[in-house]
Amino acid sequence: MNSTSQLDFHPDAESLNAFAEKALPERERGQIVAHLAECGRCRQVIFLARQAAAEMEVEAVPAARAAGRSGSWLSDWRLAFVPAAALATVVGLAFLFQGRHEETRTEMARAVPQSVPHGEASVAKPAAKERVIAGKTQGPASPVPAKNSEGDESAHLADLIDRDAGLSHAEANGKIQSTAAGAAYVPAPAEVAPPRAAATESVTVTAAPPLLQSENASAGQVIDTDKINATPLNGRNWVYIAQLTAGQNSSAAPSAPQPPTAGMRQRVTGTNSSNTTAAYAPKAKMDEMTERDQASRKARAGYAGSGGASTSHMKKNAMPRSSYDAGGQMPALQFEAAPEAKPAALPSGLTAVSTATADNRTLAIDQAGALFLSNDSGSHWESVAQQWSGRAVDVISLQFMNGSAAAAGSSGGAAAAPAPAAEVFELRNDKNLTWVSMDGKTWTAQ
Amino acid sequence: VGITPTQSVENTAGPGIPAVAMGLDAGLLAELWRDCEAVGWGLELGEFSEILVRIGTEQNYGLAALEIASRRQQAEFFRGLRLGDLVLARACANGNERAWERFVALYRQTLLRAAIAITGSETLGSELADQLYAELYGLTERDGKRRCPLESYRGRGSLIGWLRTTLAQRFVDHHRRSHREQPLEEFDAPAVDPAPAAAADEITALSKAIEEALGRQEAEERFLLAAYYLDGRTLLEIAQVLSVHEATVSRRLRRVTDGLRKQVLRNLQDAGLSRRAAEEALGADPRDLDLNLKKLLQYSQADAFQEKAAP
Repeated sequence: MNSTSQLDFHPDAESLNAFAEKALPERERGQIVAHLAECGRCRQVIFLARQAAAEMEVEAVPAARAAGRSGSWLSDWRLAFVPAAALATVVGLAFLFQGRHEETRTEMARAVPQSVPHGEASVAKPAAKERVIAGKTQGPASPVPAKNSEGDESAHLADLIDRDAGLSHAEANGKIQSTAAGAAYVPAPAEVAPPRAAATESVTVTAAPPLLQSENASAGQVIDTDKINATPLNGRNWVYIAQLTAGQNSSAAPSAPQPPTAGMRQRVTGTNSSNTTAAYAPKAKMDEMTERDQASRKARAGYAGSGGASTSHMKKNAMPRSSYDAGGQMPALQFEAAPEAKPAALPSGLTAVSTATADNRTLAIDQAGALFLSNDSGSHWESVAQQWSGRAVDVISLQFMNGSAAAAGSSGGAAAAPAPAAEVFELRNDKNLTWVSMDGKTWTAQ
Repeated sequence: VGITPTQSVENTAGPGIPAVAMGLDAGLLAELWRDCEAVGWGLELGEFSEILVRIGTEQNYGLAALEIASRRQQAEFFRGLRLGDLVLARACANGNERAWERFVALYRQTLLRAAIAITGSETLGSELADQLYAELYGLTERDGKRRCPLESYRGRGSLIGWLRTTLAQRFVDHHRRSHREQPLEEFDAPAVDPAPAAAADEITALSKAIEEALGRQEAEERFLLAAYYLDGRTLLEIAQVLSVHEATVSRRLRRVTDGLRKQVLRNLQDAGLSRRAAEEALGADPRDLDLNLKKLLQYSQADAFQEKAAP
């Protein structure tokens, strides 16, 4: 074997370009591949040329799209997709709103008996009964309000609501009508139907307590730029700063948190941190709030004034990947070179270069950059589909411990250990870009 | 300007045009002239046919040296080329001003953007593009004769691809020339470990086993290993060069490394180690191995290429 590494002769630009454009016959292509395997210079040339081509293609695509608007009949039909999508969105929202509205009525049916004293006159009860009877004997209830004493009561109630809630008479009347119609489906409020004051309440009470406490800023503080710059932080996620603020708990997000965006950064510097928490979980629905979340909010409201601070805790269990050095040592051939550092046998057969564990979930990246997830502490692994660019090189888990929350919760009893509030996996690629995931399967770019 | 099917190519080509005389089919010439659309930027049929004859003769229509191309083979040869690009390049190399105007309109900005993309710097990119542009225009002379690199373009790939590759070559050669000398103080010699004397035989056997295993790799496998591990290219970059999906590259890489590991184990066992000892030997500290994998992967074979690396 000749171990000459620096070749004297190279394929010309014509051959290299024809190779890259797949314009070479098989025999000549084989020769070029054999040369490329040996020659770092030509590999560099071909990768650079290809990279330039890719960048120019990216630049050319928007221009081509702009230029190619005319012509195909399909492009005309594309216009029809816009109203179709808008219609679908409206229909979807209508269903969603309908579902929420019905749930709201259910909440009212539960809440009203607690606030209405027995013995007070009911104005809705006769109407509801009559509608039920009408439904049985004459078919579906008419949407027209009854023109009897109940109708007069409705008009009077509408006036009350109009004054109380600032609604127009027609709107208020519609609400009353809707509530009365609802009583035909739900007998409970008909039996304990409220008097005038209760009727006013039934209009204003909507659902669970509000997501944000917006009356005052006792549970938040402004994080200014200086503080952000001065805070030691593991990299790039500003949300961690927000969670270091008194009164913040990342568990306020019942669903998967949305990744922070550049726009959100402005909100951190300009608003109180309660809003920041809400921004971190913008999709949290009120009707999805669990009792635990509500209790958590109450606890935060309780301890916020005492200056309690969340603490973040990072867990990292990563083997640094060796890089190729001038001596030519190739990391891939160090497969089992450090058996004491081998964390687990991955399905790929390659050694894990980085692992991270949170709860029972373990993530591992092998030498080829593939990511695997184990839900049983490494006994079984499943491959995670690549949702990031480049080669994954590092994964860590970030765990937020809310010591203050634990203290507030234990104010009436024994002190408890800090409980983890949220755990997030963070994945880094070879270009030092990061992705985050709550479950290890779905990754979002930061 | 142009040629109608009823016109004779010999007549329209003008005097002294050797196209048909050199064995180029008149019908084929007319067809290529039409397809090439060179008339749009002002090329004359006479020059076009001269260029075709020269191209065909230089490459013997893609055949071996002494073979004589039939008309069908000539047609196949020309139809397999990027003839529009090739004729433009040759006309530029001949000093045709209208061809230059066309070239500048089509490629000047593209050349600049490609150079910036390759160098990663606007200043360096502009400098590189201007330098190549001057060369293409034929400002350099050798033996009193104007030299234009476009003469080396043979039309197998696109002209813009050729320009990008040429730019990349210039940049890499310049970079390698200017970075060849490394300061000595950056070399940090590893400390000598007095302990591993006991395992010296094992280390030697492992070194040989790896050397032999790498020697058995196919060219494409060595290319994958070198591009991924030595150059640090991503799967996507390798996939783009090989025109395959990056998942395919990933699978191939995994297969290659698995195969390599098995081969090293086999070689160790052939050298007299038990299976267990061979597996233990694989766990040796790589720093104990006296191997230069870059050299092992990049051993030279007989070269079939003519271009000399830039000094």
